[in-house]
Amino acid sequence: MTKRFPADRRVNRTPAPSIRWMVELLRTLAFHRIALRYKESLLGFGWILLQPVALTLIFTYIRRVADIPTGDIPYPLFVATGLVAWSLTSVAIAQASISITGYTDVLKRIAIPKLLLPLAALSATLADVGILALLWGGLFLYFQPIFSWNFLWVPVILGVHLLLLLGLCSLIALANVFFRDIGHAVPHLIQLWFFASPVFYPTSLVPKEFRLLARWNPMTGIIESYRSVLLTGHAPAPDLWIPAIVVTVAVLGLGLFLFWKFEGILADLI
Amino acid sequence: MRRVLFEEVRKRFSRQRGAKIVANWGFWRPTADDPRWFWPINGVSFSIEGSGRRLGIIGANGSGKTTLLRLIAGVTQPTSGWVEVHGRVLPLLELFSGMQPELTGRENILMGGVLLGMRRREILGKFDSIVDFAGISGFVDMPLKHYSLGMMMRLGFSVATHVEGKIILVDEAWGIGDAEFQKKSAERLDELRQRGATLILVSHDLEVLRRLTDEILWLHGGRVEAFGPSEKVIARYLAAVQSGKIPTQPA
Repeated sequence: MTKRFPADRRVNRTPAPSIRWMVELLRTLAFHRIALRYKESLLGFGWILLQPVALTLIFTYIRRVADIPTGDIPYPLFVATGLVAWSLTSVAIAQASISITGYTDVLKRIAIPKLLLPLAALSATLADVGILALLWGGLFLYFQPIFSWNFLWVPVILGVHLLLLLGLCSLIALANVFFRDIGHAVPHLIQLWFFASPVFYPTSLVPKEFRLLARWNPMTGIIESYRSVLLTGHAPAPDLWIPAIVVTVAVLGLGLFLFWKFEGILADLI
Repeated sequence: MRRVLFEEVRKRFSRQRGAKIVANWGFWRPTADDPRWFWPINGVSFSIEGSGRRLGIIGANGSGKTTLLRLIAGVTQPTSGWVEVHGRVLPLLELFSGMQPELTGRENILMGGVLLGMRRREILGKFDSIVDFAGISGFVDMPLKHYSLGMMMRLGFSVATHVEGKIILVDEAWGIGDAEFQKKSAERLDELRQRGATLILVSHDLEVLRRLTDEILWLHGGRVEAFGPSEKVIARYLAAVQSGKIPTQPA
């Protein structure tokens, strides 16, 4: 009979890391993510603007080739709104996929709360996209300066959006430790997801057989809610945001659970 | 209170890659002789308590010294057993811990300091002293990748030893810089110890251990071979080396 080792391990450490220190660490890591991307590049922050601006122009052109009805909303503003929201998702995920594997040296030597790494990637992305949102603000004022108390929905939608991303970012960062394939797959998956989400077309154009899929794509609800609130001043329809919230809760729950379960062995694997 | 306590601690590592580990997850519990795993720490118990203690760790390469330090640092978790660490641990496992080549010296001091557990205000207060000790004034706003190796090491050591650590872990790589800086760093560690920090030092150099430690933990094959006053353990260790039980220059 071979001897089996039980997995009973108990660890007792004092002092526990303080919340304030963790906030400072998060800030430092986020700063580092931003610095990594823009140090020693001439265009600096311009790079975060380049892709959405180019895509806005491209889709404005495409729309003249193939008609995409957007009602009363000017198309450049329509697509720019979708692209700002989409940038937050795509950049955050791309950043998060390398957020743990990029800190191998640190993780092997210093004990830090590891959830801070995808969280820092997300925070850094939020700062970048904030600059993009300023540019969007200019477009908004030029094309359709409206005001509505329903704008108060924006922080709520952004909150759901960020929670969804936190779940996704931690899942992807973690998965990339076990399977480096994730790092290769992420750009392609993001591209697929981009076309599957109503960024440059309204959800009303989605063919019948794909409606169910579009409905449960959380980015559908999030992008359409942003547009509904910011471009028409209407509160988002519940059938849009309820699926988005359900998916967000599921993804965040799974992401945090797996993180909690595997955090302890990450340093042994990278 | 400073205290490090290990009770029947075991740590296993997989010989496989990440993807395979997951594929095998949960379907079986590994046995002691399973070839897919190895146990760098295989049943270690010891404890040190109180301030100003100086513990040395010796053993051939692969005897589990570094894994032991990493368990104390909390970088890795035991597979089974009981680990208790009271007091802020300062890991000097490698001197570039968290140093980023693209960032300037100034940014690295802030980032390294925060990573090691300092608050920003604390770091800014000690900033001049850190730069002074490392001897890099005039280079603080230069990216780290343009530093010489010696400058980087001195900066790493300087940042780390400005943290108010209670339990200081030093891996053997600490013999750094020129003779003058080596002397300065040994004095610095001693100063920290006199302020009450516990020093845990891994080294192959018996002369260094004799000078800097009071007790020695001798690891062999992931287990404790001996634990006691430095002189006694070193004598036993030397006897074992001479009788050929362990190689002098570990492979």
